[in-house]
Amino acid sequence: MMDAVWRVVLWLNIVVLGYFLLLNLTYLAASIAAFGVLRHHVRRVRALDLDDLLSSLGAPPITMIAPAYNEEATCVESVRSLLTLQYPAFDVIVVNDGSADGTLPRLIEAFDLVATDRLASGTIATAEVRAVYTSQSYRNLWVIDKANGGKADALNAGLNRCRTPLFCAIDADSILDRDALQRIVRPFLEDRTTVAAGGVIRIANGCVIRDGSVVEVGMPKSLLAQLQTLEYLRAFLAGRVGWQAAGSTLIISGAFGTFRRDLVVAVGGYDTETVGEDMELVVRLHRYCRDQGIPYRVAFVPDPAAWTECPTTFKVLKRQRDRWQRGLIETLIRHRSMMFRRRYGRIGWVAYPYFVFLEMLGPVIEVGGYLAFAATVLSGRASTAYFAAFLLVAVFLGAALSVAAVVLEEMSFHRYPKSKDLARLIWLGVFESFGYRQLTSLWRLMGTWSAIRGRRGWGKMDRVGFAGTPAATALDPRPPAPGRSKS
Amino acid sequence: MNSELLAEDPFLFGLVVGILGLLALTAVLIGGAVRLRVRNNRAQRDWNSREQRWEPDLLGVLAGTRSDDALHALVLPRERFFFIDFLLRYARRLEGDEREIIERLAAPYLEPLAADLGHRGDEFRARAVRTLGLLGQRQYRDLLVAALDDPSDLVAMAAARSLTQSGSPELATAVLERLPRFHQWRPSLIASMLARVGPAMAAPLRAAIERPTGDPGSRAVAVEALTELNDLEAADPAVRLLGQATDRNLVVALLGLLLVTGRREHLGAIRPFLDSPEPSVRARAFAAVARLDPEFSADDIRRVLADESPWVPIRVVEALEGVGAAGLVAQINAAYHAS
Repeated sequence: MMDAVWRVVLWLNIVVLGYFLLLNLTYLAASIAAFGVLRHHVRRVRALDLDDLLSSLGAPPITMIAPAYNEEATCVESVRSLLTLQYPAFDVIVVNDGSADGTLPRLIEAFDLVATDRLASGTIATAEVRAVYTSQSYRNLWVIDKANGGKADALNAGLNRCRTPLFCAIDADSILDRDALQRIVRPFLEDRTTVAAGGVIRIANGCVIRDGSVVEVGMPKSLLAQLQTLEYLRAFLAGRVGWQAAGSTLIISGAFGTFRRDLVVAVGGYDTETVGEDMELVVRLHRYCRDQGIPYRVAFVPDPAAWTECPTTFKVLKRQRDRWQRGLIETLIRHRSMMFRRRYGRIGWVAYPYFVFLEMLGPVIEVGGYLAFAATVLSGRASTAYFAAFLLVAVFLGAALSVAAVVLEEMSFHRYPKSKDLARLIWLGVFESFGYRQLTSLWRLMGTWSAIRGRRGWGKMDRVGFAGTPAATALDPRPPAPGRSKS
Repeated sequence: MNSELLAEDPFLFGLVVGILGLLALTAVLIGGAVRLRVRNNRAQRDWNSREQRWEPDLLGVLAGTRSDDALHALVLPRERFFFIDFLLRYARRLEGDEREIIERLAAPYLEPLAADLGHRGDEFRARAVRTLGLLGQRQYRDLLVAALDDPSDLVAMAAARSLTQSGSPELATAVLERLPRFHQWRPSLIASMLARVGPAMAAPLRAAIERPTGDPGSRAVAVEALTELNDLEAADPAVRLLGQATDRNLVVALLGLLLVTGRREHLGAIRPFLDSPEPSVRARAFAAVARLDPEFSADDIRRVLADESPWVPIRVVEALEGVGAAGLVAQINAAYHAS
């Protein structure tokens, strides 16, 4: 009996080793590809002379859609920030998603809002729209007041009132670089088949923000936020750029993504039944375009950034990771028929299997592996030499991948100008292997369990607010409204 | 971990080799990050110092108090590309005589840049084209026209922008003749580039839409450019083309042109499109009719509101707002909300 158990443990160790190798080889390949893509990108943007191009020529009009739920503390500042973006033609639609606080009155007062007629351009079903307001001070600002229905529902309500060929979905509490729209629109100018483009999400904790803009970039004080800063760098500059190089972008962050309006309307808008509505939409766009034989491209642009406040407590971070994992699982299960189907090309054969086997099942394998390895070592069936060797391989591989992301940042955008921040990022690359990675895997495993149990909703997210004014923003609409993510 | 243990266990040996390899890789990457940081900081410092060195003399040359030679004397041979970058910043912001001074100052340094047009990397060629276009338009116009046929779309686009920015319809016509080259780019961008040349571009654009060999995509771009120019003379050719056009984008563009430049006598050509199965065509046709027909009435409003596409009432309201028909807009809004 014990032999059989140990045989299972041994096999589990082998599976974990295989998983570990495959996952890290994928990360390594993505990082290597990202080097080439970023070098090319920086040169291309310089060659295009983008600022000049857009300042003088027919930039496609864009509507920014910002859902807001109980954002009383930050909504005015956030909207002011959106209104100061550098772009020749854009509308801002703020969707008040049935806030229970003073979000709407604050907006009405700050922006001189009056009720108006704005004919709907779409017919996606949403919770009841109570009123549409226009600003008497800013001609391009609109506010939709609606009953609570969740983030996806709010985005759909904004989409129904959007009249421009492109729209940009953002979180009302994120801050965009002033030239973010100019940069994110580039793929739509260069290639008329582009249907969606995502930008980078960066951590705002530790940055100096003035008049709705990030004026000085710095590392956060909290260790947990510092670790997330490095994690985001790795995920966006190595991960997403790498996937872009493979032509297999499957995720565009809900905090900052631009889409062709007609196509999103054609696929029925955002799915209100998932907490991963951002990824689900992109997967559905891939599926729709391939099913209909529409030539298309989903792009990732590595320079425009949306700055967001990240969780600084374990409790809130755990909720966030739990939600991300549920969103991932819901999306992958919903579109499972895309996997290994010739019609879906690289999406079906490369990206989808990666997300299913390495991201969705990853936490299960990883946590199972930690337990099996610990059991093997504690029972004396593996020598301490093996234990030490595996530990060092894991630490140095993780560190190499993280430092590679720091090199990518330094090579391309150089956003952390203080040398002590660079040193800290490098040090965190080593440090995160001791506890943080294991903890996030555990939270993702718990998210998998939540998904199996059919748990819904977002979980509460406490925010301090960019102005440094303590404020709590509850992002937990009443069930069954699903949620928002920055994944 | 002694050497005997490693010799006995090849798997463990492999792991140790792997660790050493990863350690070396991490060290190389850390070294790379630090080196890049040092290089970036130095580049920034050098750039600031060059700017401080050149700026007072450049302002002096622009004000007529310093000579070109005095400024050129401050530029070391290895700094010539930086100097061009420095001048580019001003070239984008200045016009007229001041712009000519900038071009004159750049002239001695442009020849090596022209050699970059043979570079293997398309970003290098595009950058060279862009710079020559901004600083050496007259000197290098033949090279710029030739760059329109570069195998890279990026280079061709850089050349097209430079040529259309020249304000010369002759040079912009070279772009117009190669419109199929830019079909991958967003059509409205190309149309805006052409319209930017100004009213003198209207005649070549009208000729382009009437050319029987023109493909629908290129014609649609030319029509959009004429719309941006508000070219009233384009209305009649547009009506003629509307009778033959089958491509949806072209029809939409033509109706958009007539919405802006059409006259009452063109209504007969527009009305058949009110029954088009394409919502975008119907929306533009209704908008054009609403704007051009002084007898646009409550019956028409009912028909607009009954359309299955939400874009039909939206475009009609926009068109009516454009001519100040507030009464009709109010009627549409009231009827829309009542329904």
